[in-house]
Amino acid sequence: MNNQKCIAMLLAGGQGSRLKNLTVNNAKPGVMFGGKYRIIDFSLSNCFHSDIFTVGVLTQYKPLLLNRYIGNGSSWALDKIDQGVYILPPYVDKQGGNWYFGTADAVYQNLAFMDMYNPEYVLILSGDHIYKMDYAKMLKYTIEKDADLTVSVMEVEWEEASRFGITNLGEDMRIVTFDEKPEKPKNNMASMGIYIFRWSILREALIRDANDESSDHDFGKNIIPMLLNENKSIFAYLFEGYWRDVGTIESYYKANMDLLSDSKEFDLSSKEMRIYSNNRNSQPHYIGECANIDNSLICDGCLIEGHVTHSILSYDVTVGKNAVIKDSILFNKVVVEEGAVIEKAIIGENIRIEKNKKIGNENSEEIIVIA
Amino acid sequence: MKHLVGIIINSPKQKDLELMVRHRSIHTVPIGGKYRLIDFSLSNIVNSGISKIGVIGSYMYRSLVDHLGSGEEWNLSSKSNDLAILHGGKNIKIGEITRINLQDFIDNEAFFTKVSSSVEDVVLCGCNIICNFDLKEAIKFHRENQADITMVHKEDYTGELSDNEAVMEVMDHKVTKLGYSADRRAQSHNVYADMMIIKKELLQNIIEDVKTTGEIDLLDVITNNLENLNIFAYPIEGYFKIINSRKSYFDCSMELLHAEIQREIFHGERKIYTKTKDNHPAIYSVNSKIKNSLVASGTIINGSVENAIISREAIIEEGVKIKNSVIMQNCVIEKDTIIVNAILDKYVRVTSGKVLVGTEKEPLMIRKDSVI
Repeated sequence: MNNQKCIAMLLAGGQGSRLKNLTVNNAKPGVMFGGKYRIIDFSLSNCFHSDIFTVGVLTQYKPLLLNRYIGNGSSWALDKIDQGVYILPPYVDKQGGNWYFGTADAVYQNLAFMDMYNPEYVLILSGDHIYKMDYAKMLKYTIEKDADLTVSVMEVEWEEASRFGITNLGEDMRIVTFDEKPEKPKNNMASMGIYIFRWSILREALIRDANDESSDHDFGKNIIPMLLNENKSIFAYLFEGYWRDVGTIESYYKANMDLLSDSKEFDLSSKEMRIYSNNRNSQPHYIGECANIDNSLICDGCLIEGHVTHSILSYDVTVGKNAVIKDSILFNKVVVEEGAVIEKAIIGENIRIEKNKKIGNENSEEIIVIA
Repeated sequence: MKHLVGIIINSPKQKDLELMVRHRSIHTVPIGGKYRLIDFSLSNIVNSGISKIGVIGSYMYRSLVDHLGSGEEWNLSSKSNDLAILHGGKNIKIGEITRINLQDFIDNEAFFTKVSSSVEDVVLCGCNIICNFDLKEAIKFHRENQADITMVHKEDYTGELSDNEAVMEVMDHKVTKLGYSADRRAQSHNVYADMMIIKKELLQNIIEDVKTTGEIDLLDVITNNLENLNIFAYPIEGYFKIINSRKSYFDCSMELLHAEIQREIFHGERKIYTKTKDNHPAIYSVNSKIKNSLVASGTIINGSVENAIISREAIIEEGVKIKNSVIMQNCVIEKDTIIVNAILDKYVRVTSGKVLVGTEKEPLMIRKDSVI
């Protein structure tokens, strides 16, 4: 159990208030995505495929559903002897205890957990990203560069750049400066919030940051600039591929709809680095005599007698006769009664839409969220 | 439920299912898009609260062991629960069909002697029956009547009966006659539903006796002792099907598309469990047309499908027309193919433009791994 090469710390404590009522009873990483998945499936599956079998999941806000969902990690094949998924909520010791104040503080409060494993490197992940990434390649890069810290970056659209932490690179992919959400970005190389730290460097930096009362205890705002100031060896790792932060309703909706696009930007059916999930034992879905289905994702247990087009239906959804589902996302166990019409909407778990009710409008800019 | 052990027996080889059981034990014949035949009996036993279960295998174990794994999906993998795969399929007399083979029990003596002395009854279920049956009620009935044996039966069974199916006569909830369907096909469609509850002690004595009598079929032993034993009959009211032929397999598959049967089998309190897979949700393209069908996860549907079962990870390409058919796991149906009244076993690839048409009475059966 000791001296592992690399362990992961997955930040899953955020409230995700920009996801509005989707996160009323559920932490952001536990929100459903793409039908059967939950957002955290993507990071956890990536860990497994990258041979990182020890993952600490830092939870705080509304953790019950997420805790139950993660269980012993067997869904992601992470239930190993002396390794696996560990849920790490804030806790108290003799000196007392605190809520997690920021991303860095959350990790700092679990120094003891990381000490238990005493790894060479620590991978810091967010629980709200949709992507497939082989962290093992990034780790190899980190070792080759002999870096103290590697930040995974990708090119984003210029108009988007000020939403991100922007890295300004020198020769050899070395990060020279780092601007957290700059108003006028100097380039469009955005940090994805995925870091590999040399454990000794991280440990020491976290302790210093914790003692700094002026700090916001945030990796992007505080830790990285601090290490840059100290001329630590910090490199960018260029990621190419599909990656989405699904922190807002709009980005969440769009990333879901990407799964239905012809261009297959993110191909769920690909066998490569398959996304694992906590699979439900539901029967195959049934499509009735008068149903019409096109351009949609449909999960087990659904019973569909109406019309479904350009939509995503999670487990055990019922769609009655003559009901119309268009451009929408329906979570587990939604019941849409006869004749109801749902357009451009996200319907949360266990919601019943009554007969002939009309929700949303396909031509509207707004995405209706009911949860 | 403590004091009970469940055994899933190894049904005799069904000649009519030949193509399907040539490379797998009958337990693991796929059905209903994502299930194997054994899932129904295993789920029925688990749903009755029994947590110690033995599955008698056949000489072709691989698919069975692969399917059951540690029993996690049936909630059997924890310390307090127990799933054992037992020896089976040995010593079947040539030319004779042994319906419940006691040799399988003798071969697994270690399993039965290790069973806790607190166990009072043993539940025996076949591995090729489709039903969602409340065994708990039958067990209650068995105990209330202090029966030696309670045999579950289906009155007016309309499905196919092979010659060696057990049929019975019942009076006042007691079994008064028991025989082979071949002898009395005309008279009785009251069929033994391949589920019984038997006192452990009685079963142990019968197993002991085999060594001297050589009577190897438990159903024959029961037939010969109808008058000496207290044998009750418990009717199964709901949907029940024995999968013993290509026709019964096909009929059952089509019946699973009926709303009422589906509701009973899949939507009730008692779930049917199976091995889960990390498949993506079914993907329907803009060109898909589908009605009255069961579709499992991991499928990609581009063509038109009607009255069909599309199993996990099957791919239906553009221009394909499928009607009244069962497409098993990982089949690939290439462009513009027409398939009617057919059963395609796992991993069949049908190249583009083919026409495969069977009849309702004799559905076309395509063997696993074929390329057409």
